[in-house]
Amino acid sequence: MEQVMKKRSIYSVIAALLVVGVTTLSCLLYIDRMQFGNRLQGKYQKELYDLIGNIQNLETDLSKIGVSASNEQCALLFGDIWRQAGSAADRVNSLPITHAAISQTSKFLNQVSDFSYTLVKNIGNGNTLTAGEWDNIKSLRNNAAYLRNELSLLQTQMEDGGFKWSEIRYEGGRLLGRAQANVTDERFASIDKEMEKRPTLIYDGPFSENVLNITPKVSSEPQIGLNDAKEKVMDIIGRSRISEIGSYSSKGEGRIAVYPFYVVLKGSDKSDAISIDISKNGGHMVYMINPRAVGNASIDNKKAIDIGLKFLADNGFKNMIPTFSQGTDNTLVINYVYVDDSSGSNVVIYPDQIKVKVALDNGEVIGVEAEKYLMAHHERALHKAKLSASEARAKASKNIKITNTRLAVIPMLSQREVFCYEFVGTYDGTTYIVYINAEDGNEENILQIIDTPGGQLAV
Amino acid sequence: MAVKKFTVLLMTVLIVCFSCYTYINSPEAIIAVDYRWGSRGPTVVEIQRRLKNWGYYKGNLDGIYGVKTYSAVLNFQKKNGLSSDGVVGSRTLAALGINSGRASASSGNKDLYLLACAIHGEARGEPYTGQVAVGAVIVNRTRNPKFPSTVAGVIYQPGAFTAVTDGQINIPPGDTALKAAQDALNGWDPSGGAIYYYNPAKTTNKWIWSRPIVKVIGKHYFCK
Repeated sequence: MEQVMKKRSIYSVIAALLVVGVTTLSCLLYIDRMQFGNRLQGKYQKELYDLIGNIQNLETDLSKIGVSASNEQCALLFGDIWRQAGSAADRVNSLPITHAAISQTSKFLNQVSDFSYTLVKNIGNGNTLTAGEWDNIKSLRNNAAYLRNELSLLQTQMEDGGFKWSEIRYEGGRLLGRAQANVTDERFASIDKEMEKRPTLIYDGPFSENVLNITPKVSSEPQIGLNDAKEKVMDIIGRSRISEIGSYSSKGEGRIAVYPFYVVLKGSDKSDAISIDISKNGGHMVYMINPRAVGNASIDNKKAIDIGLKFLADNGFKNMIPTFSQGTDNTLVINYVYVDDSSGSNVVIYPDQIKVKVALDNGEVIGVEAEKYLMAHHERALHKAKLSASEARAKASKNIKITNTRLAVIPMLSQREVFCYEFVGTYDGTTYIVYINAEDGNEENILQIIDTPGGQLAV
Repeated sequence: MAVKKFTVLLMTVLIVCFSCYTYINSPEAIIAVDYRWGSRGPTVVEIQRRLKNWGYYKGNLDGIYGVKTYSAVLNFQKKNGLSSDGVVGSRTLAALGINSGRASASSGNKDLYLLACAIHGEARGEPYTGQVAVGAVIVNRTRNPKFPSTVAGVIYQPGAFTAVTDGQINIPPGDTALKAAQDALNGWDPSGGAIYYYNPAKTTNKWIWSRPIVKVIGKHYFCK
């Protein structure tokens, strides 16, 4: 009897301990979760408030431009729009909403920001707004007003309904079938649909509609078949080295349409297979990656640069010169650019750029990136520069001690190409490159060469 | 006997509960590298450079942790209230303003390490080309107005990457992921300009299935 009593009391003590233990644990976990939830709620609420603030300012600025008479005032307002729209884009992307529901809103804000920046520059160059730009601004203002209205509505509803951002991504809620989780997503998705209705913005900036839908120059070349592409790969890699060749992807419909190949070399593992894409138009190498491990360096950078140059010439990329090289982990990545001599003088064409990666252990080319070249390379109608080198030099800063001068075509952010004089020089121990427009003497760009370990400028 | 069994069971349950609790709440382990007498390398040069700028170190920036570096470190630690042991650990590194000497410090590109973490968390085990492609998608997004404009903004966008949600992004990346990140930042893009990818075996999201596929690499579908 006593034995049974003893047993029972032990059981009850254990049961009590269990209950206390589990209760304490779940309380602690609950408090933790609540605190995390509240912090997140706070962060997201702040983003939403600030987002609405940005949109309000954006709308006001866009309205004010309609009645501003002076270029100076316009420039100030566009400067503010640039800032407000940029930070609004940042904020909308940091809210916990699925990408599909905010992509158009994000695009609208980024484009408005980018568009305003271009207008600031235009005004700075003494231009006034065109009629088309005025129309665009008017309809952009309508978009902003709609967005402001919807977001304020959403915010009020959130405050009234008392629902929380932190519950939106609460997996437990999804398991329990709580449909509320999708309310914000749905709201933003319907806003997004409206935001899609906006003018097509064509201007001189990276997010301009014509830049986003740019057609690669290589697509004007004639198409080749799969077998021709395969032959091309075997020529590039070397027939005698190949043990297996095939396709690594069932699709090849990227920016440039390609035939994607993998190549296993004799004596190497399938996991070390080389990937190489051949463009359907023209049959050019778009990129190549050989992931093999690289041993200790035994050749110097100068030799590697020559190897890369010869490799390019052998594979149909002629008239290239090295501009910059960067060494990491016993490899050297070299940038080569095309030189156009059709106008009688050598012009360096920076948009036509190819990167080559050379393994410094045995000098093998283990990587090629020619997509940018194939996007941009075409016959350019270059003519003689209007300005002489010394006239252009006078437009650049007097502080820089020029060490090298040459003609170049450089790409602006919008992919527009500008014919320039390139001046390489030093000031206060740092190397700079200054680009002066060869037609009108505008200072188009200034680059500062930042010394990185293993980086080398080849000018 | 039954009591004993029950007690053992109970203890196990409690231990498991509490260890789960502490595990869930413990901060990620920090990989620490110490620099001491005899250490060499670019981080030592950086330590010497900073100590020299502040007048603690008089020798050459030779990248060798010798007697002069040692006494300079001791002095620096004494003056700054650090435990003066002559070893440059994570605290002394932080006091010197050096970023723990991992890949990010030597590469000069702040995005490299983060991008490598994302590639490692999302695509380790994939073929190398597939890892570069995942990195390229992140880079492509920074240039697309529908997405944030920085690498960190893209990676940490709420709900964008499972590796961020489940914490796998905090695992230090291997050499392969670092190499792939470097290639992606250098402009290599096996994805053909894709801005989405998904693993068809794991995705139930209907929207992503409707996107046009541009490449298939390993287990991932890449789309526009």
